[in-house]
Amino acid sequence: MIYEASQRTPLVELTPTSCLIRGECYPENISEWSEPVLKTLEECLSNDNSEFKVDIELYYFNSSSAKFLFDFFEFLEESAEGGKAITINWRYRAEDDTMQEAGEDFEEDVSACSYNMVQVESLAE
Amino acid sequence: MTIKSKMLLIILLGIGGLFMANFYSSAQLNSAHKDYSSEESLTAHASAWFSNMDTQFVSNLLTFDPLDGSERNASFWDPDADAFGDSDDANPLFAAISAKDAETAASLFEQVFSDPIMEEQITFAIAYDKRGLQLYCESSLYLVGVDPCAETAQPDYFLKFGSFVNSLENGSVRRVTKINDLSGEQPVSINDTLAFPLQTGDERVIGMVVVGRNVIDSLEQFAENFEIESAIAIGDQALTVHDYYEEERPTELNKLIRAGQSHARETGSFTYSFIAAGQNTRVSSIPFSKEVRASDLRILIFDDQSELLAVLKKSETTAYVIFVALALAILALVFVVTTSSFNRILDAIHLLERMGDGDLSAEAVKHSGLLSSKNDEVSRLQSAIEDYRNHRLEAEEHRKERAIRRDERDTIMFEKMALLAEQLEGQAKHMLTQEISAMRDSVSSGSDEEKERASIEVMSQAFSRMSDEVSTLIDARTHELVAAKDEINSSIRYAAKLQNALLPKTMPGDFDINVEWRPRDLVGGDIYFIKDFPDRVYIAVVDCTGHGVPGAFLSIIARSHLDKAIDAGNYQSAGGYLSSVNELLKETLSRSDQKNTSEEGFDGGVCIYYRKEHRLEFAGAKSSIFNVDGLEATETSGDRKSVGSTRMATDFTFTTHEIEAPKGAFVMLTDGITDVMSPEEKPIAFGRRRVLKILTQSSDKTPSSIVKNIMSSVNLYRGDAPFRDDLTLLAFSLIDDDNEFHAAEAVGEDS
Repeated sequence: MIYEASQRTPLVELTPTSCLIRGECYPENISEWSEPVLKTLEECLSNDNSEFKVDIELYYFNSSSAKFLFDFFEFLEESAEGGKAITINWRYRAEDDTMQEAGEDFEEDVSACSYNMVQVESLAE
Repeated sequence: MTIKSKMLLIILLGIGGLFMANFYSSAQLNSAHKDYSSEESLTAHASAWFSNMDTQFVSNLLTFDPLDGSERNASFWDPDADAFGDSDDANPLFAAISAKDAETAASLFEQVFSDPIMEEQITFAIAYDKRGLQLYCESSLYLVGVDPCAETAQPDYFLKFGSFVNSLENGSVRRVTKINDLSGEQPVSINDTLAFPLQTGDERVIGMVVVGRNVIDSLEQFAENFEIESAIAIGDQALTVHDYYEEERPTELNKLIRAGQSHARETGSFTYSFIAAGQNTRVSSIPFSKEVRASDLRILIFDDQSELLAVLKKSETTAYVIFVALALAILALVFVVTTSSFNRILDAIHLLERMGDGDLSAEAVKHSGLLSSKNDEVSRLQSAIEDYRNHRLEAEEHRKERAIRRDERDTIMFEKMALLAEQLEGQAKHMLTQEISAMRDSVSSGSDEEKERASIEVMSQAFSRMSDEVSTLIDARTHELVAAKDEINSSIRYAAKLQNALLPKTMPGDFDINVEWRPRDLVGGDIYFIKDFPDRVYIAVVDCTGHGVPGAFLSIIARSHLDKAIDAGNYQSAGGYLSSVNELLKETLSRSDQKNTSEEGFDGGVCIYYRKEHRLEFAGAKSSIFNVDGLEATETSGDRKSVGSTRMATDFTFTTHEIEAPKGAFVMLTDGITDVMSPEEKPIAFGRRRVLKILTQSSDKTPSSIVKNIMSSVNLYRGDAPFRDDLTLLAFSLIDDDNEFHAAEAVGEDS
């Protein structure tokens, strides 16, 4: 399932074994956009695959989107506590301290999932 | 005249012409055939007759010839030998003739001729001396015609005896000799004769002999062999076998003879062959012998052709009958075919004419029969017409359907127009109603085409009318909308005025404060708060969730709680103060509906400056305070929790950061500054590091120049990209002699 990126929302690619979120996130109405995404995530997690990999590369999100991300990680945590091996890669550009810090903030809330801060080379992209 | 009559007439004329041509060519062929068969018949009869005569001549007469005759007979005419007495004397006949002893001569001739005459080898023999005196004459007992030895008999050479004798000087002569009866009682006798001279050893002619044979026998035999009737013609006269036997000539024969003679007179030709039409008999005329002219003596041959002619006639008749029968059959067949075809064509024409009159009900009559097939022209014409009729029927169906749809369309259109008319008032309504009834009239009369045309016309008319009315209505609505928008805008402008009024207007005297407050829209969720008490000063920079009008509402609530949470009578730590605000806010926003997980609240930082203690305390909810003192810029981060959020425990205690003897400038800001994004496709936020860098690098570290520097840097950074959020930037420094001194010192050191 692919949710295409828009000016205010990121690209979301969901498969039974992976999830990719990339872009900016500041929709006018966060729940309108996030509800179908979370629902699909639930479907993707409710299978017998033992592993699930999450890549998140955001450039900006507003405070209401932060709420969405909390819910998102909470979901993953519950699933990981249920026995699924979930890996989360928080990808940020070296010069983007805002996103680096945001990633570090979320890391504090995550325990059951394996959480990696991954620095990416922005010039190469 | 119809095409059918023309065709029949042409066929009739054609058959007639063919018949004439056939008749003519067959007549030509017949005549050519007759000519050919005449020729054929002449040649056949002549050669048969001549060969018969020649055979008879050679075997019966030529044997007596002195040169070519038989040895025994020839010896009789040898002057030097005695064939009669078989003595060694000279020929006694010659002696007797020389001696004019007729009696002796006669007896000697008799020795030669009596037996052949008796045996009918020859008919007669006559001997003469050179002067013409008859020495001997003997004739057969079975005579027809005049007896050559009779007193009254006169051979034809007799009148020109001299020349006859002379003709013999060169040897024997074959001739046809006619012997007439001077008394006229007996018919002329016609004989094939051999005349030869009697010559002495010195070639002197002393006498002559004529031997003859009557040809009537031969003629009879010839007639019998060829199954014909015959006659001998001598000039204009004719002789038949009947004449010799003294019989009555048959009338038929007489007629034929007359026909033959008259043909000779008419044509001037004496050798001919033709069919006597009246008698059904072929009449042929050939010369009697090679030695005579046909005009003098000829044989008439009458060959009965009635059987052949009958067969010919019959076959001709049969041919004509077949021809006529065939012609009639063809004519009849053509008549039947054309009649049936033309009847079908007429049917088709009739059908077309009916269709032309608009009657599509008639179906083509199916013709069947031997002479019509599915693939003939008329059937194809009929099937084409049938197809055409079906197409017309289909078109008619379509037309009806179209009419139904048109009526439905018209009905809908009139309904809609009526509805529109309902919405109008006064004169306009009246006019539209009148127009509708006029349109109804125009589409309900006239022919189908007229209705269709009228419907289209009415539709376009109605469309333009409706579009006029609708655009008038839309104009009116748009006008209302514009007015409503203006009203809303003016409300918001007024709200902005009110929000502005909530911002601090007076600054504490011992503070140098500079603020950039810029809601993204006219109003926003950002707000800053300064409260000056004798012993302390509260400074807060707050970013409420959301922006625009909802942000502004929340900012007013936040501001009132910031106000309410101040415990002016007692010491209050910055963290405690923020915790109280959190408690109050959560209380206010406590939701009856627990499922509502929206995140109303705020991020922000508060500073409390105690004058007496010269101490600054800071507490932050997802906020930092920056301090630049001299060359160094530091950041003090608050807790990573939002005030009022559902995730927050009501009794959460915010950390208090104490800054003893604060120096230099302090900066508080909302994420409107740090979240300014670069304009590229994968943007990077401005971030706090850039803020620190600017603070470090700025030469002028007064609050106003800090605000100016950061704002110009932010504007440069975002380029064309718009602000995404409300933005608040607040910088302050304490004004006292010491600080002033320190600041000046720092500036001095910096430069």
